[in-house]
Amino acid sequence: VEHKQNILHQLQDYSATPPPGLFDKVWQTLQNSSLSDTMNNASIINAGDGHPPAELDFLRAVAVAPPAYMFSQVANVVLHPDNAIAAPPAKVVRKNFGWWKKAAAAAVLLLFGIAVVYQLMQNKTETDAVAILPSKAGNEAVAQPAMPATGSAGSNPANDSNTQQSLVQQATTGQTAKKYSEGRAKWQNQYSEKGQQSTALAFAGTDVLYKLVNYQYQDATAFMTALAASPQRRISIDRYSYVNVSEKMNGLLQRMYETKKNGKPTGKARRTKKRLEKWKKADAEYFDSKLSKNPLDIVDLSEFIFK
Amino acid sequence: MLKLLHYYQYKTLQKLPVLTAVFAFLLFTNQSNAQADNLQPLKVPKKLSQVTIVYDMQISTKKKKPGIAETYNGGIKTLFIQNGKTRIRMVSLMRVESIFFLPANTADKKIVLLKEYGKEKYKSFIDSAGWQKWNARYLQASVVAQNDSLEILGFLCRKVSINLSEDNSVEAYYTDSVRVENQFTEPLFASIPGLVLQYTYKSKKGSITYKASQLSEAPIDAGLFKIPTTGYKIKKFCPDCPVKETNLDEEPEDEEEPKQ
Repeated sequence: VEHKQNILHQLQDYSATPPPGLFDKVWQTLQNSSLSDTMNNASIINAGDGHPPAELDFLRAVAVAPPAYMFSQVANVVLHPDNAIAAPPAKVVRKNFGWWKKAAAAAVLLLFGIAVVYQLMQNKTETDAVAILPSKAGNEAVAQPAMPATGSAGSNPANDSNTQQSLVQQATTGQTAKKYSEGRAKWQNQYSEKGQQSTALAFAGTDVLYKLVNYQYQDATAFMTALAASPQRRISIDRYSYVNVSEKMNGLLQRMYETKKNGKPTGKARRTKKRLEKWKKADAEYFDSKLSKNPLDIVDLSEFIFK
Repeated sequence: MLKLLHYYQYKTLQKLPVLTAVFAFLLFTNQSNAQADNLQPLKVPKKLSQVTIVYDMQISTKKKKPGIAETYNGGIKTLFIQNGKTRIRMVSLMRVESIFFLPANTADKKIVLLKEYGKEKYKSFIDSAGWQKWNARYLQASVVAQNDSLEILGFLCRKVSINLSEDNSVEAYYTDSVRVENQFTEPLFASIPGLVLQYTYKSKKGSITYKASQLSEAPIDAGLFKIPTTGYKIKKFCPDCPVKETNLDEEPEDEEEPKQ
């Protein structure tokens, strides 16, 4: 009695097949009382006063006894409700249906969560990328020669100074674009400074080191003066290329052209010159004799210059 | 039949949380790996098929006295790419040299080495086998991401370490925003999913750094990719030949000039 509500709740999952012949017996009883004809008459069914018609009063006398096993099953449920929950298969199906529905919902939520997180991360990366990607629309061609050149050599356009090749710095949006424009302005200033430099720093079509080592002293003085005045001590090789003379190398070149009071090179200058010639020879033997090493390869070059 | 269908639906749905968990694990593992090693670009990089990139060479040594390294210090390496052709050119006080990579269908050989200046100017044709031998050390290179980044020419560059052997490695900074065509021309960067804008090789005696200083997509003079036909001796390429080395340590010491 205490678990009346639960009992009724659990009973809804139970069903029992009526005993064989019950339906026939009821049907026969109804036919015998000629009820079938009256049942088809709607006016009888809907008597109008909300009560069943008098013709059906005889049903009150009809009693159908439930089968014997029904009582024992109901009693079992009432007395042992735990067994009843576990036993009937219909109950299991209902419970599992609820479980997988929850699981499916959880899976959908999890996938949704993963998608949101992934999307957020993707958006973050895209934002970063957009900030640094060069913008086509923002590109501004800066038609300037990379370096002023004074001569030409051979058919290689890299040595041809008559035409000018422009290097276009990629402009970007936002702050990056600002950086680029600042960089371009700096570059333009450097270029205009370079344009006013002496042609002593233009080495188009020549072996740079050979020329440096074999300067006449009067030419060397002009070269050293121009080099000292040049920002970054830059030498022009051709319209595409340049070399910045390092501080140590600059010192070496100055030493190489030191002269005594009588105008002759000092012993240190002679030794420095020999040293440079030896380097030149060593470089040619290492890279040019058999071509088994690549000077453009960072490792091969390191192995040579740091040995 | 209906019961069987329900049974399979039930079994499948029972596995759903497990499958979801596995999927989520794989997704996050993949994502974290990508973040950890930074080698997988999250988007397709822009491919540059016409570009000029200038790298400045910076060499530092532990020697106080200037050595042969100074003849390369301050030089530049320029990468020219256009119409499927590539030219890598190094310019320094010591030497000016180029490697041309031409499409296989052109009349020229595919890879040509050109020493442009000096007493002995030459060109040498390199076949694919020779090219592989030249770059054999990079076949076994492994790339490890480093937790560092740098902005070069407006590009955010991620740091990686390219390990060549136990002792040798190259540190590189690359951007995954752009790539260049013909990336095979630099086998050192074959495993890098982007464009390397700075790289450094360190040895016990010093280091070399190549840092991009200019990048341009302007059209390049087509003549720049033409290999000169005259004035150059043709030299046989021999990647297996022994190298003739000169001992540069026996250089004369600088002495004070006796006063006269």
